[in-house]
Order: sequence, then C-alpha cells, then structure tokens
Amino acid sequence: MGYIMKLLLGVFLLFSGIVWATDEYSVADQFFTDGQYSLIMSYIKTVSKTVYDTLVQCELDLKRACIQKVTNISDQGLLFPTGDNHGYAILKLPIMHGWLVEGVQSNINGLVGLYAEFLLVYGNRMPLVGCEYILNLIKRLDINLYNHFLLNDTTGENHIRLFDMSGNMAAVSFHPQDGLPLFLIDSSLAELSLGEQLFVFGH
Amino acid sequence: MPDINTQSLGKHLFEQDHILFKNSWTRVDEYEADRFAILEFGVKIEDAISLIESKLCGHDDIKSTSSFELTHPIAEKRIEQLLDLQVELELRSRRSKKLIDWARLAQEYRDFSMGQMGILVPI
Repeated sequence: MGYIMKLLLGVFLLFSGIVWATDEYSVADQFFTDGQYSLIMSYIKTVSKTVYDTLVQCELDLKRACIQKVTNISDQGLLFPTGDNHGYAILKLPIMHGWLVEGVQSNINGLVGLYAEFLLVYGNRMPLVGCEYILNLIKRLDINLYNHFLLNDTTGENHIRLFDMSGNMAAVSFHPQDGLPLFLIDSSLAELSLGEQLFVFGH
Repeated sequence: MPDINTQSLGKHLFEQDHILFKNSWTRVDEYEADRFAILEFGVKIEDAISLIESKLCGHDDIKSTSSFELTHPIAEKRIEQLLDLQVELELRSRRSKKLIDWARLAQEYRDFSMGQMGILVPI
C-alpha cells in the first residue's frame, strides 16, 4: 500500500501545478477552424501519439472536437471530465498567433504533457455497466448521495475510472469541478463480497 | 559530508517531520472513515472485518514499515476499533438517522480544491 500511496502522491505532485479550467465556455466560436484544428492535431501527433489517439477517439464519441479555443491564456489547461463529455477531458488551448513559433510550440508541448499525465491515471474509462454497478452500491449506502451524484453525472463516467493498483481495490479523491468523490477502481474489487464492497465505498 | 550544513539538514528534518505529521493525520482520517462507514452508512461490522482480514492483515508493506510511518493504521488496530463500535452502533440504532447535506459537502470540497486535483488516497 505504501508503494501505491507514493505512486499516487507522485502523480498528484505532477498534477499540482495544473490550473484546471473551471468555467464553461458559452461563446459560439469556442472551437478552432477546420484548418487550425488540423494543424493543431497534426502537431499533437508528433508530440504524443497517445494524446492524439485519445483526442481522435473523443471526437468520434462526442461528435465534436475535444480541443476548445480560449481567448485568455489564463484559461488554458484541461477541463476535467464533466457534463456530457462522457469521461473525456477537454484540452483548452489559447488562440495562437504565429503558429509553430518556438514559444507557441513549447506552450502546446506543456499542455499536451498535462493531458498525457491525466491519461496516465484517469485514462481508463469504466464501462457503463461497471459505472452503473458502482452507482448502485452508492445508492445502497445513501439514497441522497446517489441522487446528488446523478444530478452531476447521470452515468457516473466522469467520477468512476479504472486503474491498476495491483490489488489495492480502490482509491478516492474529489472531482475538481463539482467536489463529489472521484473513484479509481482496481479490478480486484470484483473479488470482494457485496458487503465488503459496501465497506470499501462507505469508507 | 559535502553540501550538508545546519540549514540544509534543518530543511531535511523538517520535511521528514512534515511527512510524519501528515501520515499521523491520515491514520486518524482512516479510523474516522471506518467509523463513518459503520455508523452513518450502516455497513456491517463483520463485512468490514472480513475485508480487512482478507486484504490488509499481514500486508508486506506494513510488516516492513514502522507504524508511525504508515499512512493507514495497522490492520489489527482497525479491527479492534471496529469491534468497539458495536456498542455505539446499538445506541445509534435507537436514534433517528442524521441527514447529511451532500450538496454542501461537495461545495466545500470544490471550493477547497480551487480547480486543482486532490490527493488520491487508497481505501
């Protein structure tokens, strides 16, 4: 357990410098033009194939681009999975003047790096049937908590993730956008009896 | 020893002390989380003990580490506390259940996080 704690703490430290985007954008042109988007994606592909593949899959699943344009550089970063993003994080990039200038590339590299760090821990989405099972455990523990969960995340996808913890069952933090529990689930949870699983989540 | 002076040693000691304080605080939280699961969520004590016995007792990490360095209490101590909760559980069962304001709690965590991720804690 100490090793896992150190690993998770290490990951937290990697994340601690991230300014998570907290505001929802309402501007109509929150996405880059097709030309800009293609250029950005082709560049991301050269930086991280994993991030590129995830953004492509995200786009296919959500039927919209998973990179959003922000006008203020202080708003750049990651939007943690929330709302109807079905467990995908959204990359928020600033409008770039002089694209491919060294400074701009360096900034993009940093943001893609953050996305890669996110994928390292939160990259594995829990299948919907698994989310439903865990939501039902929460329902058994406290119906009010379950109802509050559903208000923020109807499927549980944004708060329940799969993560290999070498048999350590589960870990918990909180979602930066809504403050609800954020669960990482190890496959060993399935080996427990119902009562033991309830203790894991009650704890 | 090169690069070691009073100041750097002091910093090092403080950092280690800080970790020990954090660990002791986390152990208290873990006891409280066990207690909460039993008293507030109504999880059965025997299920909790069953889990701890099967998954945590005799854990290699715990065997090789001093108790004050652990982030979690020793499994045997957790079981002792769980057994002690039986009396309190019986007393509580005669009272009406306290409603928890989950929306307010979530709001507190959200405000506390200031948009940043919290530390992941193994259960």
